[in-house]
Amino acid sequence: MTTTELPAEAPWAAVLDLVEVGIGAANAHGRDDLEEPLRVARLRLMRPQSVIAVVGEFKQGKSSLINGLVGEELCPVHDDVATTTTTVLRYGDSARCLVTRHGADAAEEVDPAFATGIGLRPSPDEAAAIQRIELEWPNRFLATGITLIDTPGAGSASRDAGLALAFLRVADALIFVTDASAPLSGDELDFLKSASAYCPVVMCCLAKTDLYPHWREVQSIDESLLAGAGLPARPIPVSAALRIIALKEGDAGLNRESGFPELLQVLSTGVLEETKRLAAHRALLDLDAAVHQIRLPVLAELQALKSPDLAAPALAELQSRRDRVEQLRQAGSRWGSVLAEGFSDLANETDYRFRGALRELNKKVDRILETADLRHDWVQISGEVRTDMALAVRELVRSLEEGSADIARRVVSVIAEDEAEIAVPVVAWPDIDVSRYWTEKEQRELSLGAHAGLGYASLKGAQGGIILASVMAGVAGVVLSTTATLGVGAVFGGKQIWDERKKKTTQRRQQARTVVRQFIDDVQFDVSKTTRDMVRDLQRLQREHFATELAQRIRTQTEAMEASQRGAQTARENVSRRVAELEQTIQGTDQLLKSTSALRGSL
Amino acid sequence: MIPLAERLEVLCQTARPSLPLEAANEIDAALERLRGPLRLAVAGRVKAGKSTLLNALLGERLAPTDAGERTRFVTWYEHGPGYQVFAEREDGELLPLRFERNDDELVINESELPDTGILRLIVRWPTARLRRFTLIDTPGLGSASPARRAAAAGLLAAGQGGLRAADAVVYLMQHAHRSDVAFLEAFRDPSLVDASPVNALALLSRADEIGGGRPDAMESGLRIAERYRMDPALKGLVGTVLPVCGLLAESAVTLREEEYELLVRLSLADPEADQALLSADRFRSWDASPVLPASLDLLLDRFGMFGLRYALRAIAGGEVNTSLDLARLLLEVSGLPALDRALELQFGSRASRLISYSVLRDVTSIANRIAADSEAGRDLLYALEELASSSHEVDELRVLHLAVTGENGFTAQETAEVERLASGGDAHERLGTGGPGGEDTRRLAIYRAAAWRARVGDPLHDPIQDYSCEVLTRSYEAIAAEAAGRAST
Repeated sequence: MTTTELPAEAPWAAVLDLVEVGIGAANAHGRDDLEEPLRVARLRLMRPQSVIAVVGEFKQGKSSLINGLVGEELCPVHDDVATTTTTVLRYGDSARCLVTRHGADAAEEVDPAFATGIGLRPSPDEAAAIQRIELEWPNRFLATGITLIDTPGAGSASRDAGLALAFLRVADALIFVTDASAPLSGDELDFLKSASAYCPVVMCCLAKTDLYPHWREVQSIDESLLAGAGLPARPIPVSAALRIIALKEGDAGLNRESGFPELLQVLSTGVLEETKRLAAHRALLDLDAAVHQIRLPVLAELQALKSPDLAAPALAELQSRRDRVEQLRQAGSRWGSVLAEGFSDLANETDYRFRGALRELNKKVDRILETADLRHDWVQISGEVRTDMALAVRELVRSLEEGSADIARRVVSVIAEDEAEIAVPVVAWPDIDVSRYWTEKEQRELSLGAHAGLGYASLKGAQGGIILASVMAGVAGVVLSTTATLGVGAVFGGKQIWDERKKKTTQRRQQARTVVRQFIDDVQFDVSKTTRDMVRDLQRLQREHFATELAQRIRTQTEAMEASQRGAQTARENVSRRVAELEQTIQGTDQLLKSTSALRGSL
Repeated sequence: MIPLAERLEVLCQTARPSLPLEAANEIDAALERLRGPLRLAVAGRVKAGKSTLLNALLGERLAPTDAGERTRFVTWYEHGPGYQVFAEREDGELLPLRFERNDDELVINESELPDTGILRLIVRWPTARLRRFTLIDTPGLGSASPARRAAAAGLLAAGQGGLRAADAVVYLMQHAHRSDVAFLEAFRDPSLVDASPVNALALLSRADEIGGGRPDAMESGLRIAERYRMDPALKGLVGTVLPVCGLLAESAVTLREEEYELLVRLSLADPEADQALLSADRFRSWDASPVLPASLDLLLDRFGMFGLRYALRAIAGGEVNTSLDLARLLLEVSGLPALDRALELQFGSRASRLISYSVLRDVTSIANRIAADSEAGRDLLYALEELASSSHEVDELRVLHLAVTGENGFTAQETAEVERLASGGDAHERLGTGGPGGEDTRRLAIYRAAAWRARVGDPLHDPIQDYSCEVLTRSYEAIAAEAAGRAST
């Protein structure tokens, strides 16, 4: 039990030290089950997971910016073809690439060259069929725990606001890319305004500064535009072209000119600090829980040593408590059915609501099509359909998030009702991440400072969120265009042509209705599959989490019983020495708990 | 066959005396257009680079270009005997404006003008190019400032100053952004100019930047434009899509000898030049450059990174030896000659028809407005409607529109035939034969008329296809009749 001195500049370093101490203590007491979560917490502290979404209108240089950040050409950059799929980039010890196609059951592992565009470039048709590419890559930048999402560019940021904003639910930070050719457009500004309401950190990058001599003027205009919109931020000027050359030739001066060092600096203070803080908080909660469980057997032994005459009733008490907890773990326990029912209700409820929203959308489209003049209105109608769809999916994600947090809360209270005296309250609830996708788990948005409070977890940083975000991207990708057949103008129209066109209008409306139905159907198929999988995974994770927590407590109770017996049987002459030993341990744990609460305050 | 323009004028002159005075004056103003050149509007989003392209088309730097948004008003560039700049108020009054040439650039003192109440700026300039086209510069769409956004939308929709006054549109876009397509769609609103592949074309502007300003950037531009040309979303809206680099075009047509000298000196500093051309900042702060820092700034503004890279490579490689060579090379690369050809092909040849059609539409809307209160107005409206439905020129434009949008299912070859016919040139040009040849022309026209007549009434046809075949039959019959008439006199 060492440090209580807190180096003010790096509280996480102190947290890391404490976690080490905790691991040592768990190890010394032979509690490998308590050691394990602490090791995970340590890893999380060293590599805090954060998700950064790169968004912007298309052809602004998003993929180039990502290449500049990671210092390798991982995202294909092309003069012509714009990014059409969502690409998730994260650290992996070796290169690995998973491709998920629209409507496919599972991701398929392919040669990593596929994603990076080295050689195996997919044709446009193939690319359109791909919903999501996940790329794991051994890379120094990604090793800091940052996951980057390369998003397909919005055709027009404002029209697809619902879609683009969906990415914000999963991102800790957002990098908005606009090129330095001219000041921000109205659409771009509107998007940034709504984005800042959703995402804690919104950064604006002025790309391609190598190409535009007047980027400084553009930057200052943008700055005043942003300030006028209540978003005081200075657009960070970057040039991915210079960055790539600089890294290739090891030219530090050129690297500085590329603007990337500044961007990385802003990322590290603006984003990484925050995720580290959250990771530290989580680690302290885990540490507290572990320390309490380590203390319990020690206290039991102490009590038995100090008052041997009370040993028998104390043992009986411990025994009965252990049995009660044991019962909680068995099949048919109340919390188990609360959990199962909760998720089955949640699945039904969200599905019902989603279908309801789609039905409304269908009706709305029918209504619009009754009177619409498709020659003029089709672009707007299809934009509206996409946006409504995106909003419906977002609502679905939100209700899944809140619903599962709610279930966890209910389970905790049911456990508390059944066994109010459970030695250490069941606190955290499981990470929403789907473990088979992520190597590490992460939990966000802990309700700070509430030791026994239930951490509210959102989909931030969660795989599930990314899946849904890419479903949303798919929403945008699904072709909703019949312009060729619908968009024939009234130009140069004469009476004869007009009559013929009136006849065709009915046909066109029917055609449009079919197109929209098909679109809604396709999206529903993708989304309901994804949500089903998510609900199943969430349920499994929560069950496993609570089972593990209960197992820990049973083991703690069992060890407390053993300790109590051991204390009662200790030979008279050894008692005082043993008491002193144990009291020292208790003091140590006291100090550790004091340190954690002090640190919590300093975070 | 009497041209539409003539019939329109006769009709209006006959009706004029019994019309209310105000309407009569408006109709006079509308008819005035028949004698002017084609009005070509240049439109696009704020980032698109309209002013630079205008300067290239004008051959002089008359439109203001810098990083901010400068085009506050709709500006008309008209041909005039001398140099004059006016602001036209909504009540029609012309306010002369002071202006100066600053380093070749036209600087109009428009700061005293109010934001509202001004219909348009008019720049009269004795530039040869303006004899063929009156150019209309429009404020950019999608500005970040709400006031400007509203103003731009208002200006575009407004009558005299707006796009409605244009006969044809050149639309600039950087990529086929969804809002670009939406904008072009909006053009079809008959209350604006009737944009159709017949009278609109799109430019992939700043095409050099798509390829990151690499020396081969324009090749990428060409490929992308080619793809957009095939894009179903654009196909029904614009006649063609061409890549241009406005800045380079502007610099090429206004290239000065001293600029060439500066470039030559830079090209001699070979390995250093490569380093300096890595970025705009590097180029500007090129310490050991063979020219003065102020010259570096000037060159960068005039040529851009792509232009500099391209020009220096061409000079160093011995491809060009004089400023004239360089101007020619840069011009070719900029895509401006191709644009010129397309403008001539698409608008120039059918200019008189497009203008007549616009005027017909304008006069009809005036007649429509007064028809409720004036007997004479009602009569004029009926007469105009009859004229519109009996005018073969309008019919031909319709069929051309139907063909290029694919609505009547014509093949590419048949579409080309319609394009020739609707061009409004001489009989042999419209027939596509080598030269004038009385009897041959007649026979060929009769033969073609018979071929199209045979297709009328095909059971698989819908009325639109039948209508198209009938119009083409009549076109050839008219040519034949004319040729016969000429042969007999």
